Amino acid sequence: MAQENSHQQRDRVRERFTRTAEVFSSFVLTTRTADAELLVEMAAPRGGECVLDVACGPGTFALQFAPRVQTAVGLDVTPAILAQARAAAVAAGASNLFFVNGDSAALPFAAGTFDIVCCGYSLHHMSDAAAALREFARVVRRGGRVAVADMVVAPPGSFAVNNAIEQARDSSHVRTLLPDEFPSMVEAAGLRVSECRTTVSPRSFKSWMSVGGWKLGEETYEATRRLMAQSIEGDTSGFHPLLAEDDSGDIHFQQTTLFIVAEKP
Amino acid sequence: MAVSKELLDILVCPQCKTPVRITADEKGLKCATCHRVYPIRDDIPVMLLDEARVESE
Repeated sequence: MAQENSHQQRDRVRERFTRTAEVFSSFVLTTRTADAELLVEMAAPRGGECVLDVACGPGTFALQFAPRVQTAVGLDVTPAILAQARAAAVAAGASNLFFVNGDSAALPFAAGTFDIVCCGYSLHHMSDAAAALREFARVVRRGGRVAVADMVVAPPGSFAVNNAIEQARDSSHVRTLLPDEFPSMVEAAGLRVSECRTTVSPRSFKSWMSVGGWKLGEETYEATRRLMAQSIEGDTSGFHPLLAEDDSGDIHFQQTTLFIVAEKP
Repeated sequence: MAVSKELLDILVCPQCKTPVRITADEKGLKCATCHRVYPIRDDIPVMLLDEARVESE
């Protein structure tokens, strides 16, 4: 029987995404459309299919799937972010998109319910990503697809340095995976990886911290900035950070994302 | 209806995976196996074990 995410972890995720519900939703719904389109293209939904978006946040991925399938379901553990998702679905006229407040590790669906299960930028918030992937594999039908995207630690970054920066910014961050580790984990869940793609997105440290709910001068902001700045020499974080050439004090860096589509045999 | 038919057709208890049914007052979803009743808040089913109450029958 699947176990829910630990209560501590659920509380951390809820605190973070309740506090930042508006700024986070506005950021991802405007900047991650291309990511969602890419994952949809890779998952190749067909008209009559049913898709589940796990840890859907404000519906970034579910909203792209909805017009291409019969039914789309978005599940998330944070009610405040589901309110954002529902507003976005209404604005988009997505009348076939429905929402559930639930836990990614104990999904309230029978085995084989969905044609596609997707999960975007959320595995790093889960207590046990490997167990979550097994749960995705359970609720997808045989011959169906699991489509997941999440950040990875890009070479030559160190797992420890990269994750220390992420955790300094966001206490609900559990772990960013290594590029090789991610597809192995998908396969270990009983799925057969059919396609992997990597994207690199330029980010501004200031904007990244703002989406995390932190302002310049705040302790979390400064502590995270120190760690990011320390990782510039030798790119020990894998973020390829560079100090801005103006006097803004900003740091430009790159977020590397791995997109994986796998079939359930 | 508070919860769409599309969702009602596929929602199960996250603990025992039994299909849930809407309660008479339409404020919850009940599992016939473990007797948990999951609340519906703002028309969204809350399918979390620690938010459910257990009814005697």
